[in-house]
Amino acid sequence: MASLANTAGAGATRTRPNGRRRNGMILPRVISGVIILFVVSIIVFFTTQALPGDLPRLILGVDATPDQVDALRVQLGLDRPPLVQYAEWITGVLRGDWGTSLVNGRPVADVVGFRVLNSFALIIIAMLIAIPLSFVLGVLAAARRDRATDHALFGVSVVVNALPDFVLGTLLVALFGTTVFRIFPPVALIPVGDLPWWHPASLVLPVMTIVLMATTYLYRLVRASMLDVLDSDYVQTATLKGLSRTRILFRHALPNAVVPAVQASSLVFAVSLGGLVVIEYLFGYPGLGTLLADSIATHDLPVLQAVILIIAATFFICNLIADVISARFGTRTRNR
Amino acid sequence: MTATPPPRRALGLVLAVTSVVALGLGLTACAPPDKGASPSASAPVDGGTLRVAAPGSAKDKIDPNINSGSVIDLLRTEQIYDNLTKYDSDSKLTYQLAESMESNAAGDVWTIHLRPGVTFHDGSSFGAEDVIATIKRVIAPDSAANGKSLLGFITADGLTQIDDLTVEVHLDQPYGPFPEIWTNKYLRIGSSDIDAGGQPNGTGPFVYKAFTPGTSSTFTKYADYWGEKAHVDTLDILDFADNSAALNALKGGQVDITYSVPLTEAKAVDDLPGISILDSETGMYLPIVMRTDVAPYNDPRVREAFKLIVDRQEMVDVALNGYGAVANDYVGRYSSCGDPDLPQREQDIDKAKELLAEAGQANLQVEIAVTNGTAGMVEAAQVFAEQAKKAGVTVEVNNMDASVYLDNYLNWPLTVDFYTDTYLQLATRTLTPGASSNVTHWNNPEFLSLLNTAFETPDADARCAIENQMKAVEYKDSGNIVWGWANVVNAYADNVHGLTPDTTGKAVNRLNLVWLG
Repeated sequence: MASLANTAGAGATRTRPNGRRRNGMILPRVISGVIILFVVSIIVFFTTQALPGDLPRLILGVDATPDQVDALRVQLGLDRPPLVQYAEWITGVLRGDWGTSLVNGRPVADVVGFRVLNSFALIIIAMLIAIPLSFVLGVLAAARRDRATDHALFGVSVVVNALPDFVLGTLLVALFGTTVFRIFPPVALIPVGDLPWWHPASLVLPVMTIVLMATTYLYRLVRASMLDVLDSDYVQTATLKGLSRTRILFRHALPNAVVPAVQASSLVFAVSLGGLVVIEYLFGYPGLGTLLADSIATHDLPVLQAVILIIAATFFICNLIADVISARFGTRTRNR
Repeated sequence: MTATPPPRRALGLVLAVTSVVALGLGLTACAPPDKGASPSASAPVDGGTLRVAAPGSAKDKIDPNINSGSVIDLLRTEQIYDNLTKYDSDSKLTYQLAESMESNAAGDVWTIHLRPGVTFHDGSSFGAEDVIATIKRVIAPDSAANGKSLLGFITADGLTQIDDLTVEVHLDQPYGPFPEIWTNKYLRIGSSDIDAGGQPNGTGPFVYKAFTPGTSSTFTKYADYWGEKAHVDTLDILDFADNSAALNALKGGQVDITYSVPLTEAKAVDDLPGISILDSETGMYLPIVMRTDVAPYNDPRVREAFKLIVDRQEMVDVALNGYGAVANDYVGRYSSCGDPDLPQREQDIDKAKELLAEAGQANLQVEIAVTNGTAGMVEAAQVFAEQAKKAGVTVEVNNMDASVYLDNYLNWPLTVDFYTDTYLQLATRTLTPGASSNVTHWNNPEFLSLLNTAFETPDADARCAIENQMKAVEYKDSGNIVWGWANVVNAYADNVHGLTPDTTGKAVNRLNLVWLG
């Protein structure tokens, strides 16, 4: 009891200096983040300019005459110098106007909005399952190191991680959606205007795919950090003091294993968002991933910019959160 | 130590799941196909929601005249709008919003008599002013409508409204196939106030309810439709970026009809329980196209040699997976004129080598540009490259992204394209100088003079004789290797009735005839 109180008290006193450092750390990070997003927008813009293919021709198809193609080019403002086009776009964005889609004339906010919600819902639901599950499995595997459980989990995780996500997804669809069992809808059709969680059955297979991919990777990190801690001197001491194994695992080892795992979790979150293209294609899910692929194929620059900036911003925010959490828990690791 | 049993159970669970999966897959592979009863000929049942999957993207448009002509655009516009005339499932001309059309003896004044009692979805009545407004919209100088080039023979001044249901069209030159032109996918008739905003308003069997490009659209039955009224109450047309996702949705019962079935999978899909394919022989062709105005294809001997290189049956068997038929180097499969009397061109490698040597082009090395525009296109290029080796011709297949392909659309010296249409429209669009899809850059005076004569001939029988002469010129000289006719394969769940094979390739577009039961 005494040692527990000491630990808790020590933790409380450490938060204050950490708090100051955190505030001092965030502002420069945010500024550099905004600069990075700005640079990303420039890179995306000029990369798109270099993409082969002519947008008006793509929109009008092969039956249009060259005159019609040229007329549409002027109408869309694509005949102007790239710098002018970029300047107009960025000033619009700074005023909060994301422009209109070049291929269907709808406001970018309308095109992107519901898809952002769909994609984030998908990822967040998957992460709410994957992260706790990874911790449970990681602790379990560490506690049962080199036993059958550990080996079985490791075997499964290696197999799952070796599969590309579309192969894993396709297997799950065949298993639960179409060929073997027909339990869950194989395609996640979320009608426009509905919120994704109104259709829980539709979410099962895409969520399951992401959870499997994320968990099999994350749990190994949790296991590794747990083992690091379990091998440390103070755990040895605690064991010699006669503390129960459960208490050692959950009260002493786990909190110290959290930092690397949280950092990895935020990275997995961001990577999952970037990797949504494949999952959303596979499940016909109306989200950012399919929109990204679509807007590249159709050269729809305003939509493409918005999607990439959202993904880039998510990466940045995830990293920032991971850093803040690491700073909060980090001193324990350093004091060890 | 006390925690030992659960992990063992976990391991056991993993093993159990694995074996169930293996067993399940094994059983499915062995099980005989359990087909439902074949579609009965009983009376149609009304009601329900029909869900159709088709390939779509954010480029989708729902405008009757201004769209990219993609499968899903045409599927949607055909539900909301009607044409003046339309081909039926046997490619015979039928009258829709027009009741009849007749010309003067010279063929340069046409009178369109419109169907009485037709109403738009907003309740207003359909009449001559809507037809004139649509034509003017398409031919306007700043029009972005793809049908503009089709109506090059009409000027705004030539349009006269005789009464509410009669339009007279005065042409500068005779145009014999006038009734046929109005079947075109870009010439659906909207209401005269179409550009005033408001939601899509047509005369078709379904009423527009909602539409999100690249995602989905919803329609309801139009109870006052002039033709055969829709059987289903609601129609959802859903976009799928990926064919396998669309097929999965069909397998999982989330859609009732899916437009795209890769030809390589058609047989396997047909064997699935509860799912059938709709295999339509069509006039679609995927020609290997040679640019007749650049070397080496400007030499007719090289063109003939390339035509002789092709083993047409192998092309159909491999590139189309057997879903097609051999063709004979002229376009326009379903013609009221019958087939021209031309010998079937067969592979003749020796003759091809001889011709190439004569032309000084032995051991020719060329590149073929291709994109995955429709099932079999890329495969056709690959099979052709293999066959060409036998004649000492090296063909390098350059498979590229659609945007890159389209960028250079009319410039590829050797490529694969695809078309479906009727003869005179194809001739105009693809075989005349300056036409939007004349990828061959063919400019044959004999062919052009025959085509002009055809346009000046209002009598259909007389036109047939000319049409068959034109096909003979094509067979001999054109830059198209028309090696086969491709089938269009769609798939549907067994509760869907009323779908019939359709030579226009648009079996899935006639959704008012479909019922669920």
